[in-house]
Amino acid sequence: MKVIVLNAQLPFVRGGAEVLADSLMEQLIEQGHQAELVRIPFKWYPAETILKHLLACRLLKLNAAEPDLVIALKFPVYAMPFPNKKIWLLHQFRQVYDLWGTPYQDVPDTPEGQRIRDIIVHADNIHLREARALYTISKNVADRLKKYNDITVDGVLYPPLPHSEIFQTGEQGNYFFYPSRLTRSKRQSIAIEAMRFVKSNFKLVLAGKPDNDAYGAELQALIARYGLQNRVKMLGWISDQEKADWMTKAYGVLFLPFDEDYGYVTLEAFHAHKPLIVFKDSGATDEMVTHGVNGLILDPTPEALAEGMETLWANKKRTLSMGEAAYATLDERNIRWSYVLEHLLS
Amino acid sequence: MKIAWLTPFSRKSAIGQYSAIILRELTRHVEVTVFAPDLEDTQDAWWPDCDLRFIPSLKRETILAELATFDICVYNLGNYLPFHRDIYELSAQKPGIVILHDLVMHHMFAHYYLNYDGLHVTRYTHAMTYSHGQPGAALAAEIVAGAQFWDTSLMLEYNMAKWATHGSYGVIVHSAFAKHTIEQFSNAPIAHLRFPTTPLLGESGNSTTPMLDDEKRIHLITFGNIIVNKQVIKVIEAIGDSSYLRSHVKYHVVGSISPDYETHLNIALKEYHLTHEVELLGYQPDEVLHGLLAAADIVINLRDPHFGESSWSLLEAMSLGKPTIVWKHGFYDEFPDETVAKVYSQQELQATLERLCQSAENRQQIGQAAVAYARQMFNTERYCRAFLDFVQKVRYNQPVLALTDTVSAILLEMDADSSVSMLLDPVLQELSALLDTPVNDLSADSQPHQQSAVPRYTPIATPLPTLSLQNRLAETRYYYRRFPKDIAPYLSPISRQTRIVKSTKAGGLYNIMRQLLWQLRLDQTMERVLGVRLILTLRFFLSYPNVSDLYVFSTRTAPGQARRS
Amino acid sequence: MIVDSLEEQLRKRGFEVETVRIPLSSRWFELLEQTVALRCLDLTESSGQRIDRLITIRYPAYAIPHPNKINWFIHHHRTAYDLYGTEYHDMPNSPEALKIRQMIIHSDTLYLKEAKKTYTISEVLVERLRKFNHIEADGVVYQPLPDASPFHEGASGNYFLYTARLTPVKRQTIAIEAMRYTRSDFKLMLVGPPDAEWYGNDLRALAEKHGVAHKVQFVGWVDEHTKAELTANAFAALYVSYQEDGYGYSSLEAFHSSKAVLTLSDSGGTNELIEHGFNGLILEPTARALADGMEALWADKKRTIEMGKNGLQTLKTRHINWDYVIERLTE
Repeated sequence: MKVIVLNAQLPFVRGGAEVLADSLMEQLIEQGHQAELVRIPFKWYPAETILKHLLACRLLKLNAAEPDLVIALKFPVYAMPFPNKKIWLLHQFRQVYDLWGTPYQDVPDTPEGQRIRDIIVHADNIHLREARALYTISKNVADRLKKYNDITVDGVLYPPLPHSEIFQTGEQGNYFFYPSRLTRSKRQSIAIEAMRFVKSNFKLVLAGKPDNDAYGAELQALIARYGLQNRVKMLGWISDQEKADWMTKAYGVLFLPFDEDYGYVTLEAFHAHKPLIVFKDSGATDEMVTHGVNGLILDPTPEALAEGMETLWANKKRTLSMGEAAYATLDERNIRWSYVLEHLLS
Repeated sequence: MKIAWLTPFSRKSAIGQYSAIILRELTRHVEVTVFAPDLEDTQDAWWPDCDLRFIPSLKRETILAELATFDICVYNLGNYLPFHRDIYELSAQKPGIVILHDLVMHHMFAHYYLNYDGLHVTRYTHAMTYSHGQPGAALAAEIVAGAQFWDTSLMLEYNMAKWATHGSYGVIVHSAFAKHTIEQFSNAPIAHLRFPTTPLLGESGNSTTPMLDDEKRIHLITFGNIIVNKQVIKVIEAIGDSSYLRSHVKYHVVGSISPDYETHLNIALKEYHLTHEVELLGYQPDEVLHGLLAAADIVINLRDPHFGESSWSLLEAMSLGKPTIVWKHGFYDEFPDETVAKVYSQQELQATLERLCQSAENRQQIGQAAVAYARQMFNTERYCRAFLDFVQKVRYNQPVLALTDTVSAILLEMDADSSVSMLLDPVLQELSALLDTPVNDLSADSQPHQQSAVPRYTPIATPLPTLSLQNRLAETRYYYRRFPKDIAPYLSPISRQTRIVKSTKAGGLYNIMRQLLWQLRLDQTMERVLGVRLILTLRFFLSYPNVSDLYVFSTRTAPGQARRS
Repeated sequence: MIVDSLEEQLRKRGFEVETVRIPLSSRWFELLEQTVALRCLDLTESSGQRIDRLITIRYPAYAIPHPNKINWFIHHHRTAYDLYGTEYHDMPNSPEALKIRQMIIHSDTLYLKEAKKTYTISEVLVERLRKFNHIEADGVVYQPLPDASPFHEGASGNYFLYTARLTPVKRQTIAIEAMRYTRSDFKLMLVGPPDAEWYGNDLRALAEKHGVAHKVQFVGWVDEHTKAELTANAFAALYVSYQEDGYGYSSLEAFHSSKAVLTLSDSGGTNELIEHGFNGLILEPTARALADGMEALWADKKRTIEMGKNGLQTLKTRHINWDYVIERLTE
């Protein structure tokens, strides 16, 4: 089958959407399909530009290569008309939905901005319904579609981990591992602070590059302030293989962002048979984690986190079985490519 | 919210007075900066203490850069080029809300295109065609050839209001008549706002002005720019034909008159032997005028033909509690019958004058009804509230119009026209689908895929209907086809810098000669030397029209007659 | 391919590059909508980072607005230009199609002129821009090989090499027929896969038919390294396609290997590179003329080797290298 994977293009930016698009492409080609990645540039500021790009998407044609199927991943490319269009939605243009009224809304709160917002919502209501099938990458995203656009999706297809083979299970080490970009929204600071309250002798290992030097320095200062230099290790940027190695020997994995739609860290931990600790407000991660079964869902405070880690540390056997339950989650949630492709290509 | 308010602001301008009244109230709610094209400093400004910019002292680019920093720009347009040229040009460069004070804008554009900086027949013809179709083009040709229709009802029919308001995001007018006219073609929101409170409201009483102490006569007054359609001549005839009126009234005509017309009136006065009963006082400063007004018994405020104006002077008269005689049409007919005395013929005028002069009770009745109505309807606070609501609506629809204009500009750049309308349809359809935001469109006959859920957000104002957008697209393209320079505001800043601008100057030997002759001002020389008749023949080759003809109206046509060459 | 090479070469020199590939239709009735869409795109910035420059390659990419746009023009929408009215045009004779054609030319001119500079990849295109769009290009920037490093000078062998896909427009047929008229003992080596298998077979049959199958070698597809070796040891190279816009890559490969190139007067872009008698021959487009040309070179080995060296020199004088390209495009 000739398939087009359709993504928005933000020049010089590479994020989760790009990783997903590339993974999907890889999988399609592996399955013997002719796949092509089509990216349409998108800029969302000033707000009028959104409308222009939306119009451009409605006017551009995808038929030149005569594809059999188009899979669209994001706003505004899912507006592109095509008879056999399916949407695997990463997220809508959240700025006019759940981020409206927050500092992240991007579109100005003026009458003009409100009109642009209303136009986008109206357009979404139509274009999302044009698709032959509409899937999302998480229940969180599906719930938003229901809440804001009154759309019931055809299903949730969790993006499987690209290159999951490097994540193997290993021994139970003596550290909790938290790999993510060092940035405020990922809240590594709470993890560091939690180590103040920890009595047992396990460590905290953080991996990742700081988004900006100031934040990196801030975390270092935090460690110094509480004398945690021996308890907290900051690895900086590491390669995927190194990350897999650290994960294999971790005791447990932490993932503590604020209201994120999705994180590969969750899947990495599961593939490595490790239980995952998340916070109650971490967002979609609670779709993956069931408290006490394959991980812990805690209050977002250092004390609660310290207690949670101590609880796991105290019971190695239970932690081990939680790790197995974590691995089983992958299957339970159908987090594999065969499942994804089955639905997208049917 | 920051508003840029462009208006003539010197004491010579009635619109300036209106602006000062509005702004004193408006600035209590929002920030306003005034841009005045007729001032170089605060001296002579209606309200010197406001945030004021002087357009003559600023470069156009500077002004445009500053206008871009406001949330909305408001352009006050009237039918007088010296006060409104800059404002009109800026309104074309940076679209905003146009407050159209005069429905008839033809005189201003004729001055602009045919007399101001050379002869631009093509632009004038295009503006007329855009506003009024082929009949407009035909009339334009006649006018360019020398026909004088400046004081005829043709001006109302061919008002060019569409040209004055093209490309704007919203239009405000002050009469239902004007709104109805503009609704026929406008694709932007329109609001009809009633006038604000005049400072004269409630002031009444008789001031003792020496000029009026005279034999207990009934004092009639007509004031303002004394032009032909104010029909002073009709009043003179009515007084002259009525022995009662002749012996009981004194008629004061206050306001500037062109020398020619004054001569004409004096001749009439001599013929009717009314030189004592009627006095032409010429221009009087406000203090004197207000005194005369206060002391007058009846105000006569006729317009025939009317030019769709909303008469501020009528408002002043009513606010003073004066019974006012008006011609029964347009703005004047929008008032309740008991608040003004409406006439529709010479006989009615005479009879009404007689009736009112005979009955002080009648006069008082109408006068009181007038002031009560004025108090109720003409309220500055209410005006400002309605104005701000309208601004919300305009701003809410602005992205829609702006995107339509952008697409128009793109299509124009590509030289698209109606021969490819089949291929343009997909673009129009997608644009309309995108911008046509239905409100709770859950009606039974809408397609299932068009039914949106109850919108999460309630639109803060009524969206424009789709048809408006398509009209705007078609008309904007037509307009911009001729004048690429004007599409500048709608292009991306990049395109704007690198556009190839086609020259729009008239070409050909014929037009070059015309330009040359205009430069030499031969028409005026020849007029003095050769007299009137020859000029009318030569007018075909010379610059036309004369500014003096436009605004103070020629006496060469008999009033009320339309002459076609 | 030119896009990929350009991206690579820019990156190598430290530029941050992002390639934007817009899906495009060539159906005449969809061109208007498409152009409107392109004019709506905003590539001036991305997530707060300014995009300093936009390099556009072909129709209709140059429609995208940008204050710092450079066109490296490789072709128009030819069915509206030089192919209009020929058997290749796809526009019907309706008033709409006519108007669309006029609009394409009109808006192309406008958008191309928006750029700071317009370069083309050949003189042919400079002429076309001049003729149809009344635009004077800022110069010719020839398209270099994606990777010239494997190519080097070897021995002067006994075969004429023609590297190209086996397809009618490349006219391997003329080369095969020319071998009928050659008397000396050089061979013809055809490198390249057939576009369609049956065509490859047809060519073999043609060689058989003319009794020259022993003189014509069909090599098929080879990897870059092998191709470089074959080129290095050829006697000279042929490039005899029919009216191509640009020169073929194999002409460049030949020059990089210091080999003279024979081409035909109607081959198109290759003619720009070759000066008859200096770095190659431009011959009448007949099999006999080609045979004569090959014999002439074979007779004078020394001169042929010198012409080969001149070919290498031509690459320098015409600046056919990526340093020059990048310098021009990023000025």
